Amino acid sequence: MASKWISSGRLVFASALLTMGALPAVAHHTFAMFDGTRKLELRGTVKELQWTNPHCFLQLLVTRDGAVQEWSLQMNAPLDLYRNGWRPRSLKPGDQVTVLINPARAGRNSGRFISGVGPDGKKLSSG
Amino acid sequence: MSAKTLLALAALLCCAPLAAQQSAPDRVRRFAALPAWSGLWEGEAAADTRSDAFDRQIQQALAHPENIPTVAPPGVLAPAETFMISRSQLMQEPPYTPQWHRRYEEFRRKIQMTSASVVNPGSIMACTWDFPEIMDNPFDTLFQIFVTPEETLLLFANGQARHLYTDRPHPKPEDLWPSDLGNSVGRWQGDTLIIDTIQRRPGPFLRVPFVLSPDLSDKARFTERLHMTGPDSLQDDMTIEDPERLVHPWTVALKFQRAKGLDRLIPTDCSENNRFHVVNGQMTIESH
Repeated sequence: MASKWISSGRLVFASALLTMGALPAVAHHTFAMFDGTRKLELRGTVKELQWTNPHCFLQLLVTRDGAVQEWSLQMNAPLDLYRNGWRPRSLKPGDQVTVLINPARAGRNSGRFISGVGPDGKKLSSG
Repeated sequence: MSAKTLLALAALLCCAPLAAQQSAPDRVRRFAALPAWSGLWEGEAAADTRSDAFDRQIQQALAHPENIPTVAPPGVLAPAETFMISRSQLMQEPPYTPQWHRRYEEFRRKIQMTSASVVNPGSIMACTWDFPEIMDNPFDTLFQIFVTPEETLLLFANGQARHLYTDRPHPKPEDLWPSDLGNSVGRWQGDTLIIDTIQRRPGPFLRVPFVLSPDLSDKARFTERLHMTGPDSLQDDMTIEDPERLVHPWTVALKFQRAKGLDRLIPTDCSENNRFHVVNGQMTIESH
C-alpha cells in the first residue's frame, strides 16, 4: 500500500492514478534516485512549471504543520509532456493542484511526478 | 594570363550555368524516384511503452523483479528502467566466441555482486547513444528522416545525426577514424536502402559504467536493409559481423512507426536545466 499524506483538503485521487504512471522516457539520469515503492500525495500551490530539458520540474508550495515547504517534482522532458497534451502554460503560478509522487531517496522535499489533478479537476498525466 | 587560359575561363563561365540547368531536372527525377520516408519515426518498442498493454506488462514484471534480467548492480537502475533495457534487441548477448561469452558472464556476475554504494550515481546517465543502440534506444527512438539523392539523414531528437551517404564510397582508410556512430554509406536497391557502417568506436553499445551491454571490436561491420513494410511502418534488418568476437553474423529486425502526437521534432538535451547533483554519494534534485 502506498504511503501518503495530504497537507490539506480531501482525498481526490481516483484509483486510476495509483497505477504505474510515469515511465522513464528520454533517458538521462537513472530514476533509481526515487523510491518507486512509496507514493506520496501532495496538495499545494504551483510556484513554477519549469518547461526545460532534460526534465521539466514542478515547483510546488505545500503547507504542512503551518509551514510552507517548496517541493521539487521531476517530470518527463518537454517532448514527452507535449505529446501527452501538456503545454508550457498548462499550470500557472497560483494554481491549486494535487499530485501523486515517488519521493526522492535523498535530498529534502523532492520527488518524481506520477500524476495529478489540476485546478479544473482534470487529470494531469505523467507525460 | 594566356589566351588559352582566357578561353578556358570563358568556356567555364558560359557553360557552367547550362550544365547546372541540365543536371537539375536529372536531380529532380532522382529525387522523385526515392521513397517517401520523410517525417517523424519512432521505434515500435519505445512507442509501445505508452500503451495500456505495456502498463500491465511492466506491472507484472515488477511484481516478480527476480525474473527481470540483470543489467546493472541491484539498486543502480530503477526496476522499470532495467525491464525496458532488457527488452532491447541490441542489449541481448550477441553470438560471442567462447572467450567473449566467458567475459560477458564474468561481467554479469561482477555486476550482480557489486554494491550500488560503490557506483557513482552521477555516472549512470545517457545523453547520447552510440550506434547501433541509437536505433534501438529502449526509452525513446525518435528521429526525422530526410531522403535526398545524395544522402539519407536520420536526425534524432537529441541532435545526433546519422548521415547515410548514397553518392560516394567510404573515405580511404587513412581518412577515417572511429566514432560513436561510425561511418555510413548507402545504396538503393529498389525501395530498400542498404547501409554499410564501419569504424564504430570499439566498446560497449551502452557506454554506462557497470551496465551489461554487448561489446564489439573496431572490426565490427554493420549492414542494414531499411525498407517500408506498410504506409506507416519501416523496418531495419540489421546484420552485425565482427570476426574478432562473433562466431556468426548477428541479425536483428528493428521496427519503426510514424510518430504520433507530434507536429515537429521537439529537441531534447541534458544541459539546459541540469539540476542533478550528487550529495554524499546520492543523487538529488533539490531546488536551487
